[in-house]
Amino acid sequence: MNFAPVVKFLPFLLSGVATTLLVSALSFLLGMTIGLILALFRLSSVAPLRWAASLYIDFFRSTPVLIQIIWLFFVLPIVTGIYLDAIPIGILALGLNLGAFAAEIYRSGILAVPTGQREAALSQGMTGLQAMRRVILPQAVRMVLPAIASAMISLVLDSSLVSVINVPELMSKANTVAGFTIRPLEVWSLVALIYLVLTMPLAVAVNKLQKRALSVVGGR
Amino acid sequence: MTSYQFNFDAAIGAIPQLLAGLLVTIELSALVMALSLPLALMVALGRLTRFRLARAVTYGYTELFRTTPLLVQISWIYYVLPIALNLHPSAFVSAVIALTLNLVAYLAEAFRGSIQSIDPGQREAGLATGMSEAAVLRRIVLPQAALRAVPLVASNWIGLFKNTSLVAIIGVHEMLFVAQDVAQSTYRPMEILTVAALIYFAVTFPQSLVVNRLFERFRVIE
Repeated sequence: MNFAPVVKFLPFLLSGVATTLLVSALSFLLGMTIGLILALFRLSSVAPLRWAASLYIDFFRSTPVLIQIIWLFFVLPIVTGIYLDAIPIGILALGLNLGAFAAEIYRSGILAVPTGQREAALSQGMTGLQAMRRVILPQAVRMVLPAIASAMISLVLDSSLVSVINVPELMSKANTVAGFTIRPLEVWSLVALIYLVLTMPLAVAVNKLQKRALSVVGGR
Repeated sequence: MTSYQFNFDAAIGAIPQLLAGLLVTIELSALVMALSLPLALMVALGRLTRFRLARAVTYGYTELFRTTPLLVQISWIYYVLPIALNLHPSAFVSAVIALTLNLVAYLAEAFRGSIQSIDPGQREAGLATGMSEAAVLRRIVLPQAALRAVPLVASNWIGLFKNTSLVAIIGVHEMLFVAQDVAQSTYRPMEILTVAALIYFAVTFPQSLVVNRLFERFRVIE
């Protein structure tokens, strides 16, 4: 192994890290928003909303995220005539995918809040929406924090997939460096290490949150 | 809207090729799962053992493979075998190794959780009646933990099934690779990718219904 030719490209790789973080952060915000809307739809009393949300969730959870990314890349310009840059398409694809998984996370949290709380809030004169926003959601989100944090880890890892549509993130830049230096082994080892540094703090947070969640519910 | 003319002829003509790709997807998934189950049990036990070295090694392994992207692992294995070990396996074998190493890390964590969820009082009771550690593990803890792990294994199976699409990058002819290949040669990416996505959905969705049933059926009430 000889890391010397590869280390020269470290600044180039780190500029990819910036894109990885940007793509991850924006698709996280998009996905968590879509997920919340879908979760509320799934629990709605209006049947068509429930069906639409279920169809969305089932479809996005039953197909590989890689095909979703490639599909969006080819289909968006064809169908809408809108030509977006690769970065927004990557963010959109990852966000749409995360939305389906986030919806299930929110839903499990909302269902875990005892129904008596909603009834109590309604009896105080709150509307259904107010009860959801002020009483149920704050508790639900706290309960599912570990799941949200591990979704975040998966998202950072999945952001590597947008390299297939040439988003200039870490994976994509690594491919370039590997080809240029003909040192694939060193490049991939270094890149694995960078991803590890990016996600390890989140992994530690998941463990902490899980332990805290267990102590809250009185587990062993 | 643009005046794009949909034409599914090429996509429909490609269905036999896509299904051949699907068969590779299924073979890969089945092989990887069969290899991963016993290995994951060993890693899970390694994480729970008294031996500090075994704990450190298995901890390092599971964290490394769960905090780096599968795509990086696939690329890494693809190059490490010929360069560092002078082995020249086919892309398929290389893919099986990468997917197995990845799945074992996740499954081991699922197994560890299942084993730790068994009330420690049961182990103590077993030891008190004169059973050895190994006998307690084999006769009392593992049979119960295995039942609790069933839905977790099933949902990891779904994840694996979708993740096999990533080995398209090293040229394994699974379904996504075939779809991209045909899309390029026919200039009908949208129709072909849509058909491929629908095939994935048709195969994966019924499996996820089974997973939901398993979670209901194996739910633990303590």
